[in-house]
Amino acid sequence: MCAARRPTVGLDFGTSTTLVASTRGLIPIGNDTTFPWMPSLVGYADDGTVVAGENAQHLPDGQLARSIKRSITEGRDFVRIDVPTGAKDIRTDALITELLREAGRRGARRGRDIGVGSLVRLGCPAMWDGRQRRRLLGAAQRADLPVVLATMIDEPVAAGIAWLDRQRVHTGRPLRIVVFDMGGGTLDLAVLDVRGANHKDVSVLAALGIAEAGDDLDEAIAADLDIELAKAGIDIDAIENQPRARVWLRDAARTTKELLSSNDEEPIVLSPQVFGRAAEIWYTRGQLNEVFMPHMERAEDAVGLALMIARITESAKSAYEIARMPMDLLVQGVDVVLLSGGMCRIPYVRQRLEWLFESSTKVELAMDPPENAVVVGLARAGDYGTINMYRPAFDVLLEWNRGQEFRTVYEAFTPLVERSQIARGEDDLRYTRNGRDLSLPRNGKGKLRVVSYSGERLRATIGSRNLDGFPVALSDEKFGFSIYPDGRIRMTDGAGTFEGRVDDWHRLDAE
Amino acid sequence: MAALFATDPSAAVLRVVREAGTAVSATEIKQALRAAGVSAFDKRTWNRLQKKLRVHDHIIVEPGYRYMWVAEPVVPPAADAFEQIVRSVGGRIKRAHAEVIRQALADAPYMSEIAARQRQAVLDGVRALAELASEVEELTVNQASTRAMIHRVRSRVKLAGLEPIERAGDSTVFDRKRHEPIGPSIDDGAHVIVVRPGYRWKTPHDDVLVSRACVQE
Ligand SMILES: Nc1ncnc2c1ncn2[C@@H]1O[C@H](COP(=O)(O)OP(=O)(O)OP(=O)(O)O)[C@@H](O)[C@H]1O
Ligand SMILES: [Mg+2]
Repeated sequence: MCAARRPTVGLDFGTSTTLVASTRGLIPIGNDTTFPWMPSLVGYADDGTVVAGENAQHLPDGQLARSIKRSITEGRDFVRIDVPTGAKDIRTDALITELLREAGRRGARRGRDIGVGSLVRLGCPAMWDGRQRRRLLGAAQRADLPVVLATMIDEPVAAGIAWLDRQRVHTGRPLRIVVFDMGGGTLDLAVLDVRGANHKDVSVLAALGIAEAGDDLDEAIAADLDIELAKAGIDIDAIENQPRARVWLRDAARTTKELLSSNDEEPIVLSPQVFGRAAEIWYTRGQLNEVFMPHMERAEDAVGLALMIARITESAKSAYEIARMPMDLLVQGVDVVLLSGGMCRIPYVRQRLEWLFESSTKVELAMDPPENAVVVGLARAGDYGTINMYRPAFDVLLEWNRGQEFRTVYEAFTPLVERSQIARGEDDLRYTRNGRDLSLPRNGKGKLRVVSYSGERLRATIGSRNLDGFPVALSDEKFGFSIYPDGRIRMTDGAGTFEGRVDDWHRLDAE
Repeated sequence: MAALFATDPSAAVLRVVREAGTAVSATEIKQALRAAGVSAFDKRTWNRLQKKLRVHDHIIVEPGYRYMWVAEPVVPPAADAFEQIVRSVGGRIKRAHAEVIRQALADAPYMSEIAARQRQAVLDGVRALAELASEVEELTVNQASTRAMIHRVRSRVKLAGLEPIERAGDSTVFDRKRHEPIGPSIDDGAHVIVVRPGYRWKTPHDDVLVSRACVQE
């Protein structure tokens, strides 16, 4: 691939921070700050101009869009912002474009040129579907960044690549990796299968995310501190400026959380200006772990679900059986659990995961510091082949009337298995569409078309012919098309039933 | 042309290529010279002329050894230019010398990045220092206990990889590798009191003694 030779830049657009890296490592893009990243903030200045990054930090709350990335995750198109003419609904994509443009500009100034000659690899949460990926892609392209869908990489896959890239010994044996990426806003999980003599073929077996991470733990610690203060005879509700005290406590919660990653206890010395009197309480790592425990339990449930999906992708077992598999069976066979994101500095995260997995499973940082794993992996991803078997990167269309009419039989990045299917314990799990779902004509002749977004042609066959161009005897009654998580394809049309498979996918049964 | 060839044969060859306006082969150049009245010349003369032509700034060599005149000299990327030089000197160059230059050329486009990273490393240290300073001031005004104060100072410097040597006020036995006497020298093994702690800077790759602990007998 010639694209791989062009200078590559990784861009990690996170919920709270945005980072840029070249193949050599992180490129600091902070402006007028000591941090190497740019805050993921955009807003409107008093004169009505859009400002992104640190300059937006000092804007009044109403003029600011925080956690703008969540608007894509949650499917919101507009955000209400105060502009000089009054409150207005602003298209979030336009704000994201401004943020990415600013990040690109800074990256170009500090390091490799981010222009037509280079290639930008953009990360996205593994849980995003095709529409969500195209939204971010469109915003990046309007920011004049040289990106295409094929250079958009799932964030946990990037974190995995950051780790793989530092491994010097390759056994050639397939590796099973779980990526646990816990940042400020979200926990992103992925189960990867890595193959090839140099472990350069990375395949996603399962990926999902939950919107509970660092910010939520900060809230929980602040609530716990509230109780500790009450024990010390300080009632926050009785304090004159209560909101100010709460903000102070929340900041103290975050600082204490971060310091407790390297110490067993930390003092919290109250400000008499804020609380009306001086007081000192000591908070321990044990207390923090107790508050964190229910969060980690939910995180582990999510890990279990991701492992279930991975099992469905690889085995012929019924979902009914898999949905009932106990955790100690689900966690078997994982070679390494990779920790990514700032929250993974907390020792309790590693401890819990070490308890959860078998003793032969290594639990390691994807990179040190773990906040940089995604962006560094993105910049390095050019050397790797990545395939998402859980959300395949191709469309399957059925066209007739010389291509004048068509239906989308499978839309790229749609999960092949829905969580609800597993929950119901359905057998024979697969993605499937029939003639009536698609409102096909009663009869006539059509053809299958495959559109690949991986940057390369998809190799897939059916009835021992190419999937792309395969003739279809149209029938609204009989037509059915299925893709199985292991790569098998089945199509029934007016003429019969045809079996096929995606040849590019890892054959997980064949070691 | 014949006169020019007689005084400066290279210039004559160049003129032929320039006036051709397109890429020309060696045979075509020789034909053009003959047509302009240049008398026959031997193979050695031509080889010498061809060598000069090949390295001329305004000449590019196209596939099939066709020569073309370009108005603006083509400047190849430094790495390509270096590889051409290596090729043209054949084996008469030390491998290590070529490698060292290749590495420098590969790093060159990353210089601004390297500079930005170095600056970042300094900023990381400065931020840690500023956080420590503001925290100490805040704790002092908020009447923090001595224990809280010392604990927080040690937490902050620990984040920067600093590991304390001893604790102020503790008593211990003298070890010249870790301790610095205040005043006259002290024998190893003598009982001492720590006046001020020292620090080591420890990372996975480094272990540096920043300062010894100050002690007195
Ligand atoms: N030393 C530490 N100990 C504990 N937590 C830490 C530490 N350093 C950072 N964090 C926490 O990590 C979180 C930020 O992580 P990160 O920078 O990976 O998030 P992000 O990429 O901006 O967000 P997201 O991945 O959710 O989009 C914050 O909650 C922060 O408090
Ligand atoms: Mg992140």
